[in-house]
Amino acid sequence: MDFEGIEDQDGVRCSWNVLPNTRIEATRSVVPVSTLYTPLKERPEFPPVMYEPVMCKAPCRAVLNPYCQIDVRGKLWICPFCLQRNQFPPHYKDISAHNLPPELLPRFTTIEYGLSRQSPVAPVFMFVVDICLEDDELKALKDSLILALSLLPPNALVGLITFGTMVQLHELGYQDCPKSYVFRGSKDYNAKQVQEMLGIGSGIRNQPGAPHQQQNLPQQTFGADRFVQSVEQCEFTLTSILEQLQRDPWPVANDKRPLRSTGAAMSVAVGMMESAFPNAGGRIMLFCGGPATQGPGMVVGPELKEPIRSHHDIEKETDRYYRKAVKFYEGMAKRSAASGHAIDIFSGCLDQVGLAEMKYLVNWTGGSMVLTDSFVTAIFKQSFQRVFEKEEKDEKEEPGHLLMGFNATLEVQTTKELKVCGLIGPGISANKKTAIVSDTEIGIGNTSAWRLAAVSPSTTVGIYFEVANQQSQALQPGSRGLIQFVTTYQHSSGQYRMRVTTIARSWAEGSSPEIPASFDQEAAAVLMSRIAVFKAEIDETADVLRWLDRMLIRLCQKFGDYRRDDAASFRLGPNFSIYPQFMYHLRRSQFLQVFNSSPDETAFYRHCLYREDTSNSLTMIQPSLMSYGFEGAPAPVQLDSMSMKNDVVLLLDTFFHILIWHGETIAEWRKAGYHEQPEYENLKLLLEAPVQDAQGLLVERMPIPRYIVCDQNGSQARFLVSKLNPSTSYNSANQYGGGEAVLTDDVNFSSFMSVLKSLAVKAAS
Amino acid sequence: ASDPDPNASQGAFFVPGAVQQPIMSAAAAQGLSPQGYPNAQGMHPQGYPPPLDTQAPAPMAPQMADLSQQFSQMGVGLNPAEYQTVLLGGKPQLIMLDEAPPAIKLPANAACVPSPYAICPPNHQRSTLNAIPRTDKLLKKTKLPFGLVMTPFKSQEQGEEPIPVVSEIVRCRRCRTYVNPFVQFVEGGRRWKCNLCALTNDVPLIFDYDSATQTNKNRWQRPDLNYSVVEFVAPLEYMVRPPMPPVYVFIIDVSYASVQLGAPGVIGQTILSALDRIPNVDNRTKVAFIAVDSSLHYFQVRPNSTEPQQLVVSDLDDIFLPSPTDLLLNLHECRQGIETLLSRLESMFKTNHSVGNALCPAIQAAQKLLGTLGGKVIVMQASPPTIGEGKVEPRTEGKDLGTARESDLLRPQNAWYKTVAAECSRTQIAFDTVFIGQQPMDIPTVSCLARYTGGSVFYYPSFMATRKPEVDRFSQEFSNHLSARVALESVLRVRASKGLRMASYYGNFFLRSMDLLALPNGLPNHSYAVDIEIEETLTSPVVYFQTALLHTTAYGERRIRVATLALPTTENIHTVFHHADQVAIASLLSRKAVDRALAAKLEDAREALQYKALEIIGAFKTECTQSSSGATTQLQIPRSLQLLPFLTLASLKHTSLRGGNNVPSALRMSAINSILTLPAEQGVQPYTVARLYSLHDLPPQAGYPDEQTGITVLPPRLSLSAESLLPYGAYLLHDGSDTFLWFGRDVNPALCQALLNVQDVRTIPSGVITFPDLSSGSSADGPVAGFELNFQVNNILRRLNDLCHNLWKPVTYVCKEEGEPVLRMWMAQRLAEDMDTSAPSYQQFLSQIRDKVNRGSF
Ligand SMILES: [Zn+2]
Ligand SMILES: [Zn+2]
Repeated sequence: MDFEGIEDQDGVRCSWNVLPNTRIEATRSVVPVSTLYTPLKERPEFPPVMYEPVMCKAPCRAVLNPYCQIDVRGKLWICPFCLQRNQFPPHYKDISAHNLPPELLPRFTTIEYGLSRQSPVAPVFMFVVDICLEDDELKALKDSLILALSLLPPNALVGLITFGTMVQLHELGYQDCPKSYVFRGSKDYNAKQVQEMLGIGSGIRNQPGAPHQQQNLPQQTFGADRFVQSVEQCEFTLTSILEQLQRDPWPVANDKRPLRSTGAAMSVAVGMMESAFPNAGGRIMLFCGGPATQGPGMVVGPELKEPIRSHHDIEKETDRYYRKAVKFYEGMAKRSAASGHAIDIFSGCLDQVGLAEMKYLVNWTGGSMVLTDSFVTAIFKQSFQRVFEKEEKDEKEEPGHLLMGFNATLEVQTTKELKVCGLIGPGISANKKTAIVSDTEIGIGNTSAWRLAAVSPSTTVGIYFEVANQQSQALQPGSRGLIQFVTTYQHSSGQYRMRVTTIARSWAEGSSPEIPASFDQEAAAVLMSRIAVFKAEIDETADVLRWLDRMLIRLCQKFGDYRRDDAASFRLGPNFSIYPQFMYHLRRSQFLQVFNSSPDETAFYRHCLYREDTSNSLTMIQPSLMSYGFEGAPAPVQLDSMSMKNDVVLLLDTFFHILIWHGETIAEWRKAGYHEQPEYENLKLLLEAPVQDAQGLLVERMPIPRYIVCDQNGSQARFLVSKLNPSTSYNSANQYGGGEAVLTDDVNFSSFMSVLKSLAVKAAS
Repeated sequence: ASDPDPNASQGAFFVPGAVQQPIMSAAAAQGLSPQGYPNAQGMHPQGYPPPLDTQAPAPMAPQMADLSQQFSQMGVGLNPAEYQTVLLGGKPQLIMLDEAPPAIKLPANAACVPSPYAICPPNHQRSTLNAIPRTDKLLKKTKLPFGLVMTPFKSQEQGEEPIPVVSEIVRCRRCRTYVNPFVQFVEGGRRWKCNLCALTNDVPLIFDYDSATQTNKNRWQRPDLNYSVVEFVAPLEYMVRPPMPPVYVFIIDVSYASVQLGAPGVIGQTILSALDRIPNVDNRTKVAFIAVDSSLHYFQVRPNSTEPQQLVVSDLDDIFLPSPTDLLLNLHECRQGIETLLSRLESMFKTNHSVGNALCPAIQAAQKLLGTLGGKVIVMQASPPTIGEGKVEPRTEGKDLGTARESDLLRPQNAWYKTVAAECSRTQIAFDTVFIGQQPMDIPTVSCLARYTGGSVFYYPSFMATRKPEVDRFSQEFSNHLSARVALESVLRVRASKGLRMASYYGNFFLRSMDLLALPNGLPNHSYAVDIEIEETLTSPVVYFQTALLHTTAYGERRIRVATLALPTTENIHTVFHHADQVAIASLLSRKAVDRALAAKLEDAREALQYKALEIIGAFKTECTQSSSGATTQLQIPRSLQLLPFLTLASLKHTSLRGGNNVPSALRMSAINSILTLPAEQGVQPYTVARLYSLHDLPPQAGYPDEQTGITVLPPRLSLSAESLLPYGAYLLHDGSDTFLWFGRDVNPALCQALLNVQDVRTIPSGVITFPDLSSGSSADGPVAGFELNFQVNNILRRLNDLCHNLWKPVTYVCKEEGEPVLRMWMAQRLAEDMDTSAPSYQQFLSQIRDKVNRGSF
């Protein structure tokens, strides 16, 4: 099966592409029926159709699609989900078998409708800027923010909040002098308070005692347009405010951290946005250069001698602030998501800023999380700019719209044999309890719709299903299970759009070879990783690892080819062959083995896994390693210490890092400058090839990965070594070959496989 | 009357006209040219021995004792008839208000140096009695009130010598009295005897020898021995911290009510143009601005920046400052930014529709801003405070005016302001409260801020930015106020001779202990009064009061202004009556009355005031006239108290006490505050007793400078009665804060032309005008032909304003005989001799007094 071809057309990758037809069989198949879906996958060759979709009667509301039965004469169509008959609308009267609208054509299993509904306001970008920064950091951040103004469409609305000891919301529509509203950094302001204090929202006009003339005055006097204005309107003012921004003036003692009110700043930002722009697309972009040290959501106390929490502290529940902070940010995240606003966090700090506490702000709203050491770094600058990437200019050469969707709702429809267990991805439940909602929850369940406050073309969600069909209820031969994804979102042009993807997958008997033949091991690995990581947020790591192992063993038992109790006889078909490898690397990955990372790093890694597509996710789980040598073309090699040869250049891509490693010999030649001599041009080419390939990888990725160039035995090489299968570790018997010994106690892959085989062949207990 | 007291011979007094000897009196002192001082040789042929040449006997003992003996004998034959007068049938002799108070007649040896400046000038300190009864019994017999009216930080007026400055402080070891002209040198000049407690103290070396220049000094030239009022430069011991700079925090109402009046713009422009007048000699002066609606708007200005930054704080739950720096601005360093801010104040808030007023949080913010530094907080309100602990509830006063409940309206409705004021007083923070417009602002409540911190209350009920005269009045007065040299972090202590006790004080202050008034910002034009009780029989011929105002000048110097008042004592009731100071009495009594109105009821206050006048006149009749009992057709009264009935009547008719139901409590409260703070010289006249002049028959010299003094000649004043107003006449009435131009219906068009450059009376605009200057701005050069009258009147107005120390910038109301009733009523209220709904006419009042005195039942 051409999984990638399907992905290109529909943005969908399914774990199983032929479905076991009963609940029992589906359970036995171990990996649930599930899909990775990329709702806004770029499809430049399929521009949106500019009309309203035809929908089934309420409450079904499924959208007309190529899998519908139609009666061109009766002008009827039958909804495959609820089997109701629907009359085509009057303007479909000329429909005929030869004159079908695109949504009924087979190649339009995915179609995008441009709706007539337009958002009343352009997308809003609220910058929330930490000013407890060293001067060079602040300068770099200011420069990036000023640059961002030129990257935004002129009609985009922008606002600015700065925070340190206090929180300041800057008024942009004020002519007389720079003006800002100041809030206490140690306080949690609810939406009503923010509204009253800013004099925004509808309540303000009906204050008792307010003069009557007010009613006749233009609405804007009372609105938030004093604080949020279009780029073209406020660029000058905002630029000048940003330029004059100074670091927090409150004194900081030598033994103290600056008082940083990240939490209060977010309550003001969220309160302001939900009061003024409910259900209008927007992003709150938080830039923080350190942890919150006071007020709601504080991560660490201001005393420097008090260390910031580690994974150990969190696990042992010894940190005073962690739980409270998490609870606070969860509340913020829910409010923001509920009113359709995404939150992005850009951290520029060598230490942690509290991403572990704040992760839900991003993960529940579809925002981006960017973790960098400093706002001076290229990683920050470029990642930030990448947020504002635009669509290709259209034929009319009008400026391209931002490549992002806002305030999206993703709804799922299934035929009755399938039920929805949940979603794992950057969103929250829209609390739509329909008949297709399963009692079994995987990820964010109990709903068949989710809200994604921001969606990028790469945003990918995992959606998990359950086969509801009981053994006894036979399915008609040739019948298919249908799933429809309906994503309604605000395009950055302001137009509302609806992307509809309808997929159909055949049912098969549990024993049918079609089922294993339809297994997409890459998608399955990613979908199972999401479940594991989702579980790891709640459960102990050891339990998650045990669960992963159990699932792997059961999968091997079910689909391996072996003789009972004969490990040597164990074989896996090609569709399953690399799945154990993915699981092996997932077990050792930073997603589950957290103790080598800080809680912030873990939050960041997991955030990326929750939102990336199959291919990027696989890179995260099992980094790719390319070897460049004098013999033959560059080739992918095993992620194994065996691959570290003296005379090659390696290019490692972990998604988060891109690393070029020069073998000892190559490094010596390079240091001797051979590559600059014409007779050794091949060395020059060998050195250049991975650099070019690395550039190719850097171009597309968000956030920008960290780029490392190192030599064998150099200190930076540890990034490579830590990712490799320690097939040649010092305690391994396998000492032959050209590999380098890897200093690790981790079990190597071959040991892992032998244990797996021996367990798989045992009779299931 | 025989005198049982052996010292009595020293305590007798001169009778007017009977004395040809050199005496020291305020009146005499005024006539002496400053060049005459110090001329000890002229008065004492042999001079004083050099202090270090100590063989000589005590300097003044023999001759002085002789002199006082002679004087005492002259006092024996005092004839009551010589100082009595009868009142009924006559007009009040208003001219007496311009006379000096009764002379203080001290024994010739009272002062250690015979200096003409030893007598305390009345505008610094004034006693109701310039001869003090020796016993409480005698005082009670006279029924006269005994008290002092003091203006402790009186500023130097035009033509006045500066107050001498002394750099060494010498004080009595026991009672801490400062050395003053009335100490006595004993033991050959080596020791000095304290005139308040009689302790003898060593004379310090510095009196006679300057160790810096190693030269001898003449102690008799010391200013503190020659002048009743001196200023000592305080050494470090008098400072608990470095002297504070002048600090001004402006809290400006910018709510909808204020914006409607156009107040923010006018306030901004006024402060802007007054920036150079704010004391700032050494560039230490600081200012801060907090604009107030339902939020607090702070203004941050970085030094040398041209742009202010506005920081709005709407979270008023517990007050915090939005920035640690750049809110309290150095006036010099932040000048440009401050100017920008003030010039934009109008446009910043012109569309503001916020209806709340967060004064209370703003005050708390100002307290935080000032910390321990202290300073003056100027509160400018156009609406009532509606936010915070001290918010006020609206009070409807209409139906309560004129009833027993009226006084409740004058009382603060909560204690917040008083409590905060007390707190602020401790940290040297003072408040001025400026009320603008006619919204009910609960002035009785909010003005407590000023009342208990020594501040001022201003009220501009008819202010509108579109009315130029009102804007001019506000701008001028406020600007003058800002330019005042304030006495920072000051305390006022009053000491008195043994046997005298300070009973209660009146004015704006916080009383820290019975003799210590805290005045975080002492104002030059503020006066204080105190009741004095005689606790023990006074045995000495002279008693003393010494006030000491410890303060920091605007120049950052710690100083003590000391005023010593010496008053003779007497056992003779005639002498007491004869030396009663009716202006000081009226001033003290009106303060006591308004104080009573605030504490009890307005009606009680009025009754008490009337009763006091009756009592005094009754006492005089009983004790000092032949017809001590029984009815008389005449009303006899000491000449010194001739105006007492009229001043009482004028007080009763004044806005502060006036009966009836047409005085809004805001207006009354502001008048009460003026009564409590104005010096006696202005509070009585013109504030209570206005000046009335006719303009149609001005004497030729009126309005032109006097040939000798250069002072503008005023026309003769008219009695304050409608009888003075003739139909063909034009009149000027001036009460300090307001000016009325009254035109009869038949006034000559030529006069209208010469005065206002209008055709005739019908074309004169009614209501508020700016009195025009038709000499096209060159009034100093002389009148423009045809407009001489205008020139004269302008000069007269200027002179009247000078007499009020430029405290006010009156607006001019044009009131026509047949014009608007409201204006006519306002004018009529100032004609104190006439009967109106609230009080009888002067003649009726006198008859009532006579009848009651005759009946002996009052
Ligand atoms: Zn349907
Ligand atoms: Zn003494």
